[in-house]
Amino acid sequence: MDRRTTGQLAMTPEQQKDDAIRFLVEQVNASDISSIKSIVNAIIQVINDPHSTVKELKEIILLDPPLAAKVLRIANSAYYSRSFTRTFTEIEQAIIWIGSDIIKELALSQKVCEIFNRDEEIGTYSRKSLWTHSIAVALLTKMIFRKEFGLPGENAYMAGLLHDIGIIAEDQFLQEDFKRALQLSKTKKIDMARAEIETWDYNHAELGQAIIDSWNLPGELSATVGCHTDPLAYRGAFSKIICTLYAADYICQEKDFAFGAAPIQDKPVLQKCLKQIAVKPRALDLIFRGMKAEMTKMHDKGLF
Amino acid sequence: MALSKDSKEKETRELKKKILRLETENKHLANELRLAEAEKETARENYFDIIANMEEKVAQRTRETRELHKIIESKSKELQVMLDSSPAMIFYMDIEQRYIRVNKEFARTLGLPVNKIIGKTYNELFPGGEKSFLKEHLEVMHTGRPALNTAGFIDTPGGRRRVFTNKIPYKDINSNIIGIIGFALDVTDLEQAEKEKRELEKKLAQVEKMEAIGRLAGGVAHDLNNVLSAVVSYPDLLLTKLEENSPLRKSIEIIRKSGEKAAAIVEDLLTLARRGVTVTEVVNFNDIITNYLESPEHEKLKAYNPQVDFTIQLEKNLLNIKGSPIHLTKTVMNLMSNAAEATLHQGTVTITTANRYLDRPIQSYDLSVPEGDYVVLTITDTGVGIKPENLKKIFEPFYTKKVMGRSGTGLGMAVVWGTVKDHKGNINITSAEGRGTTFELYFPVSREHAAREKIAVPVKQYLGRGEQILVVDDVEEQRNISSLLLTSLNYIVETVSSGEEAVEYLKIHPMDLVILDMIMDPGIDGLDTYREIIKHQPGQKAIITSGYSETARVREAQHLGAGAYVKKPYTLERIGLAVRAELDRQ
Repeated sequence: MDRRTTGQLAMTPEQQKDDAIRFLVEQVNASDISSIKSIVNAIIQVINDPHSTVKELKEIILLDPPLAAKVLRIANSAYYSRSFTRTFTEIEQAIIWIGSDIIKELALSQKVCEIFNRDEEIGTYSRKSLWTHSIAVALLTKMIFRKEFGLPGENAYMAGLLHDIGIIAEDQFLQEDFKRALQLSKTKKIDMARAEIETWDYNHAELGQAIIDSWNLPGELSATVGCHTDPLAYRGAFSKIICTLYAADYICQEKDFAFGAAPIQDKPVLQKCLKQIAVKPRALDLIFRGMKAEMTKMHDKGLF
Repeated sequence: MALSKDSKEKETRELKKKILRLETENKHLANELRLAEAEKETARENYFDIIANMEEKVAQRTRETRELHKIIESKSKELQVMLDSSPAMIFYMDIEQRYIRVNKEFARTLGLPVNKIIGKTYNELFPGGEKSFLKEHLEVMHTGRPALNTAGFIDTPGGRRRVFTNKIPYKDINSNIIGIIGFALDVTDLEQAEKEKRELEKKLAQVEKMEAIGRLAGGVAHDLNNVLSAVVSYPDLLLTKLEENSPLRKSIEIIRKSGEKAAAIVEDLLTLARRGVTVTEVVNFNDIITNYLESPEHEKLKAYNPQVDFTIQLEKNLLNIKGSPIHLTKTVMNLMSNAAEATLHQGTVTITTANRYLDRPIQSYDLSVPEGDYVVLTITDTGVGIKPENLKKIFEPFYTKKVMGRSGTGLGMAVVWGTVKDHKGNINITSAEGRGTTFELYFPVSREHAAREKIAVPVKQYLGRGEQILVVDDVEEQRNISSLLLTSLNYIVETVSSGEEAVEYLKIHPMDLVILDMIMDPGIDGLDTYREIIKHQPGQKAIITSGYSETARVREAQHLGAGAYVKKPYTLERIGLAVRAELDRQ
């Protein structure tokens, strides 16, 4: 029995929307997308524990053989080992050598990549382009945090990486509707969130937040993912990261790192956001260029 | 100018922009620097953690290694203890046959400290040792197959030793053969002991065999004695009643002689049974030999064996021994006769006596002779000798290599054996075929003085004075003989056939003397009878007779008050003297 059809009679539109989202989240959690949950949780624990050591990170990595292999490969790659002649055979040494911050990002992106990377193109959209977009947003958000606020920005990186998880779910479980939404965005020149509302009454931000919530991830991550398409509506403690992510998302969609939907058009929202976080457009521009260079370097070295 | 101003303004704007960009970059770099420093700090902490962790790991490994070393050391000690506790020699040998490890027993056998053994080769340690071992070592190392239970000898400070060896290939952890592990058990003493045990067992079997024969002979002799009593005693009785010139006298004397001869055979048998000998008399062997040499038997021997030259060498101060002159005489007689008869051609038979003190036991024919003072009788001939295989049989009754019939009862050597054994003596024989035989007889010395020579006693000295005598014997002939002999000696004789009867009889008829047979069947024996008698007739005079030798029961009866013990078959003189002595005893 189709729950949505029967529900339509008795339920308000709001209830119907919640029901639809809940149904999608259930599907996500029955699929391998949910495997992101454990690695993200573990990394968050390491980040939040000031006494955490390399050992704990090692334990996380050792749970995931492809990740462990990747860490060793990177540690021994020309990019990191430079003039060193030694070969790393132990994860612990590799983590110290690469640096635990990078390892954390690596661990996250590796897992998210596995999910995003089953390539399937729909027009100009491809999962790979969505993945590249996510990495770019994550990197840029983190760099703004570091360079502008002088903060490590680890959560910002994670938020960037996961902000479009809702799109993944749509792509996977509502593919026909998703294609239509993409088309709608292109033809009407409206951003993805709007096209989605026209398609299902909800957008990928709401869906993403529901997924993040079902994984019991921190409120900061949930709020950031949930409000990243409408940052000015948010009233709360995490507006800095939300506005930063919006700016990064905006810039990335506008320049070089779009994923196939029409770019965001709300320049005033961007300006308000930048004002709120006290980042000058030129600073954003400068950081974007730095991020792009980093992306090129990483891409060239085959790191993603 | 305006252009210049414009351009100047533009330049200023550009410059401002540049400054702003630089400021932004500067801010970004400053932030990055701060973060980098914080990260560096974290990394350093992590680094120190790792170092500490590594150090802990190294310490852990060191502890583990030390623990392992300890275990290895203790295992090695354990192995050494096991090796050293082995009664066998154990050795490890390298591929060049050099000893690399040996146990205590190995060192002890060689009489060398372990460090003088390690590094030496087999040839260096055992220059005169079993050569086949060398080949065997090579073979084991070459084939990898153990060599088990191979025997050989080695020369040690303790003499040449016979060893049983097992050799197995010595392998390293990769199973490469790097030498030999060997075990060698010294079986020299074991084999010697085994040999001695076998010999001893043989001797024991021989002794047992002779004892069994002796017992059998003794049994026969006991019955024969009763039968012979009549043959020995009646002639005496008849002769006293016959006229001096009676034509029957000669025949009766022949009967008596035959009877005596038969009694002699029985005596020999009893000697074998080792019951017929009383060894309580103190005798000097020189006297026995002298008496023998003067006897008709020796004259006869000389006459029969003219080819033999008899040599006598007697120790002047020969010590006394305790024994039975009759048996000892017989022993000398038998040995002399054998020696003479073994000397087929011209030769000598030498008889010597000597005092000898043994300060340690010496080997003899059967058992070893314990240390002590001995009188040694040696009889040596230059005759045919005895073959080694016959040597062990010569004491068996009726065993002979001689022509039967001319001499002896077939019991001669058995009598010698029995006599020597009864005298707690030992025999040693050395014989070489064709060169002669030497018998050495060892008798323990007695410090008592020899008894005086006996002189024949006239009949009137033991005639009765009409005393009443009760003869107690279960055998009728015995009662008749005793009755006749004693009656002829002027005694009044009554007879009863059992101990019980005797007790009852004496209650009613007091008698001067009771002649009590020791062994009666059925019913109570002589001792029990005497015990009953003295309950009612305390101090009852009695003498005891028996075909057997004096026993503990005889002595017991004597202890209770009984008088002399007279052995059957008895002569008129013996019984007469005993009766008279007992009656005259106060």
